[in-house]
Amino acid sequence: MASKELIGFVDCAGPIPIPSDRFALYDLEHPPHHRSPPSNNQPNRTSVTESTPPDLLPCVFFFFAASPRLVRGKLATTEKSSDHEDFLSFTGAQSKEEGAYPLPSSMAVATEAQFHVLAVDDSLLDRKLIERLLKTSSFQVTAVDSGSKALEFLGLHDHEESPISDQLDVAVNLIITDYCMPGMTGYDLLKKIKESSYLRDIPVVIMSSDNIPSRINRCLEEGADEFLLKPVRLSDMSKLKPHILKSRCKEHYEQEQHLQSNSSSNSHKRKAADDEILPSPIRPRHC
Amino acid sequence: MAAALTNQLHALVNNMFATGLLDEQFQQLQMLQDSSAPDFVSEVVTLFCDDGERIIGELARQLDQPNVDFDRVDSFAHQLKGSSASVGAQQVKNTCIQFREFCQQRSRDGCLKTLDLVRTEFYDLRNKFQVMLQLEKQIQACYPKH
Repeated sequence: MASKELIGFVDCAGPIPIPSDRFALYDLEHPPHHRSPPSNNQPNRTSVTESTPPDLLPCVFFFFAASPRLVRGKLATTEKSSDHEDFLSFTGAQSKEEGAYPLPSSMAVATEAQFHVLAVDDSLLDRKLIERLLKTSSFQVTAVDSGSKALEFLGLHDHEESPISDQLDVAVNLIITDYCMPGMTGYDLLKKIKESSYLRDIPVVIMSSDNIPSRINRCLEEGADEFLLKPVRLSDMSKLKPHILKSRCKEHYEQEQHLQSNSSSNSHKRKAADDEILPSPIRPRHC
Repeated sequence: MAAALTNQLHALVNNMFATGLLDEQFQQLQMLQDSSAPDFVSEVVTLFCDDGERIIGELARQLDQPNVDFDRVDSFAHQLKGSSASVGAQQVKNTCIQFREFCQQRSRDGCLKTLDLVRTEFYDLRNKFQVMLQLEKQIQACYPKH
């Protein structure tokens, strides 16, 4: 994502990136730079550029699915108000208090986000392979060669529970790790991730060249979302997105619940709930 | 010229599939190569060849010890099995599986015999890979990039 250009407006609490190819559904004929910004004066409208972190992109579409009141601006690029109305009628959003509406399937097709996957494998060959598999499947990839480097990347250091804020400018949507690694195994890494309140919602996928049912069960019981047998192939990549989407759906639903309980002066509070409500680039953004 | 080379390349690769040297994982690698990653297959194959040579050297060294550390030998065999599986080197992979069984049995003889076998198979495969990569280079040279 090289250029920073205004490509849309979205009502939201923070900046949300929408790469220009996401507009294919609405306006195939006109590339982003031909579009002019909508002239509606809607409150809380936020400009969207490509410089904002990609991890927030799926939030847009989940907002549509789960909470149209938070994101009600138009993604369509034409200025015709009828298009805007059509768009709103897609979501069925008439008021701020309406509940979730299913996205039309055409919109769902256009809204594939670029998720960021952290790949962990001590084998250079396998790292190269997983990186290529992930990139071919439109994921952004960071590959590291050990569990400890993975934790470092995720912002966890040794015994510290809280990440170091100045290192958290990258968000990770999924972690895929080899099982057999010297030092910290994939299982050890999985445990550390699940023990961390900051990281535990990131889906974890384990890969192994050995088909050992007890190993597989152990990982799944510890919270792994998927277990892939090596060599991993292209068809395995389609198993990853559902886990990412599922975890984000859950997170936004929880945010939504928290907001509602807050507004009704409910005294119930969850640990780190405040952290989850406001998106912030310096937080451990695993969503 | 390009056509003849291409035929040679296809014949070689097809033969490698037919004789069980390669399996469908190699086809997966071919599928992953495109204009955005034009050298993917050759890079992966090269990594495998370097890995393989290094590991076979380690295996020989380990088995040469007066007291063989079979867990260590097994770990190297596991590594080679992993690399060969990832690259589609079916024959080498299967021999590594045998190797690991001898490690489990703590059989030095078994390990040594299997090391000989894996070495032969690996170098045979490596030679063929080198011919393959050479042919590809020559074919590419027929279509100079501007």
